[in-house]
Amino acid sequence: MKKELIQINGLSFKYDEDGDEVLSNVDLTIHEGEWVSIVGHNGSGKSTLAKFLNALLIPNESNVVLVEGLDTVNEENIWEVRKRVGMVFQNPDNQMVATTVRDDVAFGLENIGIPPKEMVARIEWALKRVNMERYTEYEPHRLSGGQKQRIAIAGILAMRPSIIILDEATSMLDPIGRQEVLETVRMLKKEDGITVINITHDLEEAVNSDIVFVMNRGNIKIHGTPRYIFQQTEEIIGAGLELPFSLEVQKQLKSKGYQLSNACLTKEDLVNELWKLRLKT
Amino acid sequence: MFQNIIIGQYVAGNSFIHDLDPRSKLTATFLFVLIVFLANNWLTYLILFLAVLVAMLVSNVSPNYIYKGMKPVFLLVIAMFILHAFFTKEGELLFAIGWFEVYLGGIIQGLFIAFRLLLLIMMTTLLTLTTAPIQMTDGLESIFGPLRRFNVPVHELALMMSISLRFIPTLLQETEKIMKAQMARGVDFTGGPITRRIKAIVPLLVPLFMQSFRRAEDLATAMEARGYRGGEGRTKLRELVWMKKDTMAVLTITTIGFILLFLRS
Repeated sequence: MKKELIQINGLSFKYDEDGDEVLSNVDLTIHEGEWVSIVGHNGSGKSTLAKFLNALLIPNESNVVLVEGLDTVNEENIWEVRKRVGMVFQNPDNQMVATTVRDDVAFGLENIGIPPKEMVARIEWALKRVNMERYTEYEPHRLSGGQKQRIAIAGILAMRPSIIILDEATSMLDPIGRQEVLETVRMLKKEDGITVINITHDLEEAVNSDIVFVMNRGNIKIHGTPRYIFQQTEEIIGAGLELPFSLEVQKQLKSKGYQLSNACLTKEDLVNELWKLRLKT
Repeated sequence: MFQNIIIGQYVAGNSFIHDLDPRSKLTATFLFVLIVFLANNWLTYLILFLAVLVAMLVSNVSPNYIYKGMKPVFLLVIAMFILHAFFTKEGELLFAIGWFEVYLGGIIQGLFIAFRLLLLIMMTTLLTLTTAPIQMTDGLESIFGPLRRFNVPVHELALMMSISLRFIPTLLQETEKIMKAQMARGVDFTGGPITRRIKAIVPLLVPLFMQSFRRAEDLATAMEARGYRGGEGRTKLRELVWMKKDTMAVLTITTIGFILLFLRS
């Protein structure tokens, strides 16, 4: 069994004393090296959950959020947790702090007190990892959305985290930018063994993950491999999510009486299935 | 509309002055501003002018840039001259139009004051031309660092400054976007009487402010997520190094100050 990186037991949370529960009784375990997708529509509590994962929100005594064995209730652990869990947010413009790419990547390192000499080396390394080393002296407004998100990733990477959380990080990007970002993270997962938690409302992005959690009304409704999740079309629609295109096509075809197996996760799978269809019948 | 935005008027370059530590540049400029007020005769003004001239030559900045930086204040300089020329009643009476009298002493006094103002502006322009805004921020943070003992939030103020610098282009781009969106809805920003034009700014400012508050909140969250916890225990990527030439620059200005003390009348 792989090491457990994050463990949440029975986490409930509301922003106001007498408001609705944003999270209710959430259990979640994430293992090292996994690509985890947490999907849900707006207001399903997925971003709130993400904030618990790097101690932006602190659970109360009765709940447990463990990040690499560190209990986030304990205030002394907060900074260590934030060092290990990096977050990329939705709006690329609103997370760059400094006036140049180099300084922005340095921001996190400055926060955790890395000596300047080591900083320079780490910045260079991180920018190379995200393929942005040519933009070191650029100002944020001269970068595209996808590039800005990659800078955000570099800023996190330089801090040597074990987990990167993408909180709707691709939802404001054009298709090319989205591809750039996902590609970068995929490479980091493969080559550096970084655990990735992708929070999204787009099931299409969850196709390649190891495990998918579907959230609705502050609860994890179902979880499992994409193959399993994508067969639960009722649950997916019930959670207010849109089916990925290939699943939607399959569903419509099936309702018209075509015999398809349930296994087509990607467009390629579906196309393969379709051209073989006549051979079978 | 807002393409090629340059924040401040910094012109990147490579010169003795560019390479100075921002702290020494700030100190030297401040000292210069003080000693300008020591000058009170032709000789002392000449010395100051030569000092500025040498600084400009060493900085390698094209005089054109300095002229551009000074242009907005020319009117002020002329106004200062006229005021002093008319209201100082000293020396020989030059001419009089009715009750209106102009004296030689007034003209000289006016010239001195105008020249003093010009020298000040030239020197400060030189400072902003050769120092990147971010360096300036670093320099100010370092100079005012000791004030932290008196609970002055020096680090926070410096961070605020650098974040403002970072967001100026972003906000300009946003302004342009909102303007276009409102123009598409029929708002006229350029024509009509002044009252209507001022009213037209409201649908521009309200969304701009709303967005800025949103940005501020997002940015704060993002900063916290990256482990920001105030100035305590923080290291800096850009270390300021005070070198021999910095001491030299400050000493030169101080020396000029002492010379002026002797030569002023």
